[in-house]
Order: sequence, then C-alpha cells, then structure tokens
Amino acid sequence: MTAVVEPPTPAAMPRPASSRRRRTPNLRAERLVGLTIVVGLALAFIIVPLVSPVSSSDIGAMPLAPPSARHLFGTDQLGRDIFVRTFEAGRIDLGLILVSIAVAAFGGALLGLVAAYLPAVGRAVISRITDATMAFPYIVLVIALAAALGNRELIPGLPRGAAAISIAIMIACWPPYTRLTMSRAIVLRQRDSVVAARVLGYGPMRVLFRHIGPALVSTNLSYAATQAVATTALVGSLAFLGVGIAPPTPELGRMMADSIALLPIAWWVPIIPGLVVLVLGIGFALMADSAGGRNSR
Amino acid sequence: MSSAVLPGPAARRTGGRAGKRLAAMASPLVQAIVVTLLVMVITFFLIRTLLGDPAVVLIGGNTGASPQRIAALRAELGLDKPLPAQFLDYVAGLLHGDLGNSFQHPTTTVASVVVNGAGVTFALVGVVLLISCVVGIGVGLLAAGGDWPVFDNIIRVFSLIGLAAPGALIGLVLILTAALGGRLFPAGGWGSGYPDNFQYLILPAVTVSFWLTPIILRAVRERAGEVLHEPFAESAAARGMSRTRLMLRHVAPNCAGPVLAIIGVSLSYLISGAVIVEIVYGLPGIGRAMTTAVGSLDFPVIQGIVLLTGAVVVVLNLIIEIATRVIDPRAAR
Amino acid sequence: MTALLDVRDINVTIARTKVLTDVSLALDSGEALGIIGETGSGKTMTLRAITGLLSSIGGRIESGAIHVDGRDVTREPLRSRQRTLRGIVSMVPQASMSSLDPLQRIGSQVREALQLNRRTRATDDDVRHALEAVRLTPTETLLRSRPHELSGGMRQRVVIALALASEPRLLLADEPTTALDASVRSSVLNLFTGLRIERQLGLVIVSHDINAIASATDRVVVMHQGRVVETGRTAEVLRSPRDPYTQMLVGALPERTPRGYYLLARRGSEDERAATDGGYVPVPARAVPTGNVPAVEARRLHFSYGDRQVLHDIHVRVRAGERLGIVGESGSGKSTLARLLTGVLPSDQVTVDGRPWRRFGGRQPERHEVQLILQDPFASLTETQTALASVEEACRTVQRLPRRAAHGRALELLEAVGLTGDLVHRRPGRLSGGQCQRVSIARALAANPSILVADEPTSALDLSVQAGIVNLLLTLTTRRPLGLVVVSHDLAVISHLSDTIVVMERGRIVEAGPTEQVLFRPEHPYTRQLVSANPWLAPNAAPGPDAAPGPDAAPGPDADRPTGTRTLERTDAKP
Repeated sequence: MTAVVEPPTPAAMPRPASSRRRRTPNLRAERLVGLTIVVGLALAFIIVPLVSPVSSSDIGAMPLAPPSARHLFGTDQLGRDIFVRTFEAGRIDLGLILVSIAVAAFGGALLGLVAAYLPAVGRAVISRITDATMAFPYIVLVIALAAALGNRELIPGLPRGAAAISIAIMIACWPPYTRLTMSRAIVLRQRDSVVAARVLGYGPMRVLFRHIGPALVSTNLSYAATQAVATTALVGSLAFLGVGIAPPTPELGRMMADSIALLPIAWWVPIIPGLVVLVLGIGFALMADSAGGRNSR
Repeated sequence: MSSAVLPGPAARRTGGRAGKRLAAMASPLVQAIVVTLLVMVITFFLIRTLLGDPAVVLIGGNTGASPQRIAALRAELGLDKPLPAQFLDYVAGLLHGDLGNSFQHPTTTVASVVVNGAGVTFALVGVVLLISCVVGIGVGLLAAGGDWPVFDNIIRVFSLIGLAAPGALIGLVLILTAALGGRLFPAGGWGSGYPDNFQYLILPAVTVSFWLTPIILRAVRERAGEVLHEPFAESAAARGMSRTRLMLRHVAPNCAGPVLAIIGVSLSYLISGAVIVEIVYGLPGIGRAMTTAVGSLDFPVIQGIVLLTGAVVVVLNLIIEIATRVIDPRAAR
Repeated sequence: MTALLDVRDINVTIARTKVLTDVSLALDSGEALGIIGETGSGKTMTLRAITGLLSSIGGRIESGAIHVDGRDVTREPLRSRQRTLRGIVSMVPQASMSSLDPLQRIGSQVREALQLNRRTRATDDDVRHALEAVRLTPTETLLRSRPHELSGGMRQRVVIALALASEPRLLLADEPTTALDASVRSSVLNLFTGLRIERQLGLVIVSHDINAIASATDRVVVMHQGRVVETGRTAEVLRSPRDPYTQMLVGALPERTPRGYYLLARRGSEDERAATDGGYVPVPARAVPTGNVPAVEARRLHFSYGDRQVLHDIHVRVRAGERLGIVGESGSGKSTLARLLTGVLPSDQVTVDGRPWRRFGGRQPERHEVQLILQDPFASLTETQTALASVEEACRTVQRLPRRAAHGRALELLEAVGLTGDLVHRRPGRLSGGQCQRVSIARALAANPSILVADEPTSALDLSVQAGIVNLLLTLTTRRPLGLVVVSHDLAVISHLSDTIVVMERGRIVEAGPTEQVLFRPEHPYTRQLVSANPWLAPNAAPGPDAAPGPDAAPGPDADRPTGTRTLERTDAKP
C-alpha cells in the first residue's frame, strides 16, 4: 500500500544549488536543544528521587498545598510531594518509552532488512503483515493487552502494568521501521556505491554493515525520535483510559488523570505532570526535526 | 544475498499489455482484501489466546460459580469447540453479514453496538480531518507563499507543542478555557439528534486536530516552498500569473500527494487518538464500547470493532492510493 | 537606438559573498549572445540579476545598472520588475522534469500562458498555433499529455512555447539543451536560431556546452568565478581565445586536442600533467601486453528486463591493454552492457578469462579482474567513508594486505590519481565531483584489475575537470597494461580513450571498428548522424568553428523516444 517513496536521484545532475532554504543553519542548534532537554530530564528523573529528602509515598504534608519553597511543585490530594513524584514518575515513563521503541525499532528494522533481501513473494508477505499491523488500531491493542496482562507482575521489579504497555508499544510501533528499512535498503542496494563495492568482490556482510547499514541507522534513528514524540503523548494519555501502570507507583499520565477534577481548585496537581510530558515531547520533536529532514516520514 | 541488482520492474513485467494494466489496477484491491483478512484472523486468535475465559467473567468472578454452570455457559457461547471450529463458525457468520451477538447482552447484535460507536468515532475523525486539512493546507500555503519570518516562527512553536502534547493534556486545557471559562461549547456529553450533536464534537475534534494539523501543515509548507522555487512556477510568476492563481492551480495540486500520503499513514494513529480523546470527553464512541467489551471479555464485540476499524483504515488507504494516481499519474508507475 | 539589453558593471552579493564582479554585457534585437562558464562561474546568477529572481535566493545588486529596452530595472523589486519586463523578456529554464507543471496537461498549460498574456480567452486554434510555432505537431494526444509522457526534446519545445506566449523580444535561456541527447540538442538549438531570425528576437543562451554556444550564438561572454574574462565574436573567441582561462577552457575540449595527446587541463589544478604553454604533450607509447592476458568477452549476448529486450546479439571482447569505446545515445543499452561486462547483471554469455561471471556477489577468483567506474561521482562513494578509508578497505579486502601495508598502498594509489594531503581524509560530501571520481578510480585500481570499465566517467563533470579525468585515464593505461572500456555518449571523449569503437543503437551494435575509421569514415547512417552532431570532430587537427552548421539548418524531427520508455537508462542524463 503506501510505501515510503524515495524520490529518484537525478543521476548526473550537478548537485542542486537550490537547497538554499533558510532553516538549514538552525538544525544543529535545534538538535542540541532537543538533546539537552531529553538528557537533562533523564538525569533529573534519575537524580531527583535519589537525593530528595522526602519520598514519593510520604503523605505527611498538607494536602493540596500550592507550590512553595518546601514543596516546589506543591502537594497532591493525599499530601504527597509532587516534585518528587513527578520526577520519579518520569523515570518510569521515559524508561518505558525508550526501551519499547528501541526494541521495536531494532526488530522492525531487522525484519525490513531481511525482507529487502527476500524474493518478491516473501517481500509481499512481510509487506502485507506490516500493512495489517498498521491498519490495526493500536489503541485497541493497548487496551486488550493491558486487560490481559494488566494486573500480573510479569517481570519482577517492574511496576504492574508496565510490561503490558511496553509490549503493546512494541507491537504497535515496529511496522514503520520495517517499511522504511525495506524501501531504503532496496534503494541503497542499487546505489552506485553499493554496486561498486560488490564489483570489488566485497562479501555480503561487509556490504551490509559498511556500505548500506550506516545510512539505514540514521534513517531509523530519526524516525525513532519522531515516534518517541507520539509515544510520549500516548503513555501520558493511557491512564485516562483506565489502563496503564497500576498505583501506587507514580506515573505521569495517572497523576494527571487522577487529579483532573481538581483543576479549578488546585491547577498544579494535574498541570505540572502534563507540562513535564509536554517538555519531554518537545525535546524528542526537536531531535526528530533536525535529524529527520526529509526521510523522517 | 541473491542477485539483488535486478531492478524491480523485471518482476512485474509479465503478461500482456492489457493484463499489465489490469494487474496494476487490481493489485491494490487484492492487497487491501488480504490485509483486511489478516486483521480479522490475527484478531480472532489473539483475543482467544491472550484474554481469559469470558464465561467466568460473565457469571461474576470465581466465587460460587459451579464448574457446571461455567461449562454450560461456554457451550452456549460456542467456546467449548476447538479454536479452528470456532473460527469457521465466525467466518461463516461473516459471510452472511452476521457479526454475531454480544456475550454480555445476548439480545444485542454486535453490528448495532459497533455501528453506534463507529458513528460517533468516525464523525469525530471526519471533523478532525476536515479541520486539519483546511487549516493545515491553508496555513501551510500561506506560510510558504509569504515571506514572513514571524508568522513562520509562530507556526513552528505551535506545531511543536501540538505534536508533543498528549491529547489528554490539550483536552484538559480546552475544557478549562472553552467550557468552564467561555461556555462556548459543552465539554463532554452527547445528545440524541445530529445537528445538535455537532456541538459535542467540536472540542474533541479541535483537540485531536492539534496533533494532525501541524503534521499536514509542515508537509504542505515544505512541499509548497519547493514547488514555488521550481522553474515552472518561477516562470509562471514572471509571465504575470497572480500569486493566488499560482497557489491554487499549480502549487496546491502538487501538495496533494504528500498530504494524502500523510493522512494514509496517520489513519490508524488518528483513530487511536480519537478513541483516547472521546473517552476523556465522555463520547459514546467505539472507545467506550471497546473498554467495556475488554472489561467483560465480550469477544464478538472486540472482534467487530477491530474488524470495522481495520477495514475502514484499509479502505481509506485504498481510496487514497487511487486518488493519488488520479492526481499524479506518475505515481502509478 | 538603445540596446535591448544592457548590463553594466553589476556587482552582486549573496549573504555578503560576492558572486558577480563588474559583469557587463549588451545585446540588440535579432542578436544571439552566449554566456559560457563552468559550475560556479556566475552565469545563472547573471540571468537571475536580469529577471529579478536574484532576490528570491537572497542576492543583491550592490552596484552597476541593468537596462532593458532603455528602462533601468536595477533597483526594481521582483514583482514590479516582472510587470515591467512582461512582453519584453521571457525566460526558458533548464530542461528538466520541473520546467513544466508535472500535473497539468500540455494543452491547458499553453492555454493558460496565452490567456495570461492577452487577458482574453485563448481558442483551441491559438493553442495549436503556439505549438506549431515551436515545430510541434499539435495532435490531440499531445494536448492531452502530461509532461512526463513527452520526450525531453518535446518538453523543451513546450517550455519555449510558454516563454513565447507573452510575445517577448528577448529570450533568456538557461542551459536549454543540457539534459538532451546530442541529436535532439542540435534540433532545439536550431529552433532557437529559427525563432530568432523569424521574430527578430534577442537571444541569450547560458550554457557550459561550448558546442551549443558555438552553433547558436554570434557573440559570446566567457565567465569565470563571477567575472567576465573575455567577450567577443563567438567564432573568434573560440578559434583564438586571448584570456588564459578561455584558452584553458577551449583547450580542454576533447575535440580540440588531436588523438594521442593529453588534453589541456587547468594549470595548477588537480592534474597538471598537460599544462604546458601552447604545445600538446603526446601520450607515451603504451606497454603492449604479450602472451595470454586476461580478457572479458560478451558473445551472442541477448539481455532483457522482463519482456523488454534491451540488448540484441552483442559481440564484444576486451583484453588487458586494449581500449574499447562504446558509443550510443540514451536508450541504446550501453550502460546495461557495461553492467553485464562487469558481472553486475547476470548473463552466461559474458565471460572473464573464459569463465562466465558467477552470480553477482558470490566469491570468484576473477572478481577483481574487471572493475567499474560509474557516472555519478558522489553516489559512487559510500557517504560515511573518507577517501582514504574507502581505498584502504579495497586494499585490505581485495588484495588482502595487512593494515599497515594497505594504508601505504592506499596513499600511493590516491597520489597516483592526484589526491594528496588533507584531501584524502575528507568524505565525499566535502570533495568536488572530479575529486570523487578520482577516489573511485583509485578504489578500482586497489583491486589491481586487468580491465577497467568506465560508464560515462566524465558526464557529470565540468569541462576542465573532465580533461583532468581523461588525462588520468590516459596515463593509467600507458603505465600498465590496463584494459579500458569507456561507455559514453560523447564521441570526443571516446575518441581519446579508445582504439576501437562500437556504436550502439537501440540495443544493437550497428558499427564497430578502429576509432579512426568509425569516427572519420563512418559507414552506418546512425553513426554518420552521431558524428555530424559533433561538428568539430575532424581527424588530427585542431578544427575551427567554421564546421558549425549554419543558422538556417532545418530543424530535424525529434529522434528521441518518450522518456517513459527509458526508465532503465537513467544513467544517461547529461550534465
């Protein structure tokens, strides 16, 4: 169906002088800002809960206290410190996103690579499975998986519900990588540099890893950043559907969902976790933007 | 690694000329059918292997239910047969246009549940597509046409936030501002008739549009910027073609391809986004039907919903593919 | 009487970088002016300065003046300048897929252009007349076609018809024939000349193609690094250039140098072997291989892509030390043949050392014997590897040299192709086209091949850079008994790099024989046509431009086929 279409390179044309769009010089800065946001938040997610004097489950303070020097982000309906809770929650959310997407990207790309080298029939089979998975409304999958696995602690040490979400993200996210990698690999395989490498008699593995691979990695990485944006938003929304990581573990989406009714009286309770999700998403979006260019889609 | 350098067309060039054209026309249709069937098969087996035993849930938990009663209920629901037999029954039903009845409410047909829910959800998706296309294409063309850096930057910031924000968060902000503050539109609920119901759709649709619009807008702006610098557009402007005519007649059609492609790729995400938002706003769409059905392990309803949404995605993609070929015959090759 | 176009001493900057310095040129009605220059010479900028499109790429005219038909347009902003120039100046953009709206039918594009000019409805007859004016037969099929269904030549004629729609008195053409086949090229140039005489048009043709300029213009301006270095009557400038750069440029024309001599390359440039004052340097006698030498051979070769046969009954044999030229226009199947000879495409009819190529990619001891140089210098190299890394990899993998030895050998090879110092540590993105092509050659040599197959090795390069590559290939084939197969559309390049030639037309060899004989005493009509499209080609003498066809030469029919049928020959586009 809609394959990722690569514009044919006009072979012999001198490289166009027309790539003189204004935005080019900003790309590096953009990527830097995006990377700083994501890495900075990740560090904060790890460090803040470690050094904080209060724990995320302490309920000693006054409920619904507005932000103050003592509680930077205020307290929630049970009197828990939102500052610590937010960062502890972020750790789980970010970890979940990164791990799931990494697995999906790697698996999807690998399948795409295999497909690129299969005969036409095999390629068609993989393409249709990819299409079917992409036609499948992933939210249905998330809900079903969460219901099926939700209250079991699949992997010891992980909060309940995390594994279900993670698996659902993986299953929903792999197809674009397969498509992208397959179409890119097919194009790259016919690229002059690869023809030259094979005329030299380079072995298949060398051609794959040295002459095709690097271009595939950058394509997939930039797509992963794009997907991280969507997934951040998704994870943040799941709790509203009644699925997601089970309490008492703090989770950003759950913090928002549970306190949405408090908006008129204590805005900080739902809004602050929401802002953290937003900033994280913007970080990923900046990275995707600058890295992606035209092959992000 | 096989003899890989053979160009793709080699595989396709079989049969006569007319045959080729026929094959070219038919292949997307065949693919669409195959994909829909795959969705059906995968769903059927996935549900039955992953989820638990509906009979147990229906009877009301583990307490006091005698094994006999559960077994009787299983037989009644047709769950006692082996999986392949259940599948054949299901397919046979489908062939007669029968999606079966709900486990939970045996008198309700799945079709009615699904159609009611889908009516709401796809109305929402339709409004979202409308808003996103109108705003995205319109503003995208404006941004590409005029050289206003400030406008450009505003769009950038907006699209970053729109892309990154969780639908729920925007929903939340909109509830706050529009409903509680301005009382312009209701922030949730659903009426009975249609012209009336549109007011309930506005806020959810705007919420989802916040995500789709920037994607379309940016694609349009990028493509339109390219087209405007292409020689044919530059010479048309030099010959005295007005900016408006140039934009509408030459630039906009050339942007249609990317926009259609994006919509095609985004469809299933779009439906998922709609489901989330409709739950947040309390609309009676397939999202609500789905959560209820999953909660009670109502297999026929789950299957019905997945099959319908999958089919809609596939059919829309098919339409998009045909539309792309009509607009740009080069795409057919 | 005021000049139709008068550009005086303009200086142009883009983002504070000076791109044009004191450029002047003038033109009257009915005159044809050529602007010659290589990549980055500022020739396109000059056109943009006139049309006002300079501003859309951020350029500014700092000083100087541009008068069109007596009116000063120097400071006029784009929109109002376009209004002023309408009906006076029209632009013919470079022939490409995007010189027409890809989605609209030809008829409606022509009609639209006509209506824009007249502000009234244009009838079907008007549209037909407009197309007939550019020597197209306005059939219903043509009117209903979309640009991608037309051949390059037809497309360019439609573009000219659009430019003429506003009834201009001055036509500015930017590389109007660059992407076209030689025979189509001359018919499009003839169309320009015909229109100029019929309508007393002023004509400015910007091109890097000296032959195009020679055949279609009276006066010429030579540009180099943003300056006009020489101007004068075309015939005189090309016969006896005064400026050193023009001398180098004209000298670098392969047809200007007798066979058996090095081409004149830019002094102090990548290859200065031949940079002498005046005299040509003879290519030394080649080492003649003796005994049993490796050979690649195609015998009764037929080849099809699916049900489309692209090669019919080809016989070709090249031994180490021999040089073969394969000539043909786009769609002739010559690139396919190159790929078959190197084993990239599979065929049992192609043998190396008597054994057929195994499936591509499989291990085969003869693999390294035949190496391939491709047209696109940038795409031929792996983006992530530096020049040194890619040659080193070949040394280590193919020759199985240990790391240190491979490093030394790679440096040696790079030096042999003229790359030293910091250049070897650069990636393709930071090398010029010519430099990339040299890396490709060094990498191919690292395999220690007996035969080098070069598919349009210089088509993507500027003239002076092309001369360097031709000289390099000449040197390489004299130093060692290397076999060379050069595939090209350019007879002049082939004439220097081959001892025997085969001429291909639509997948068949129509003529074969020693180079001298085929080029100077062609027998087959197709070869004659090819040779006649190269007016300067003459045996062993530096020919004058008098051989150029007169402006009254009848415009021939487009011989090229619609581009839709030649999807496989994409490598044949010319720079």
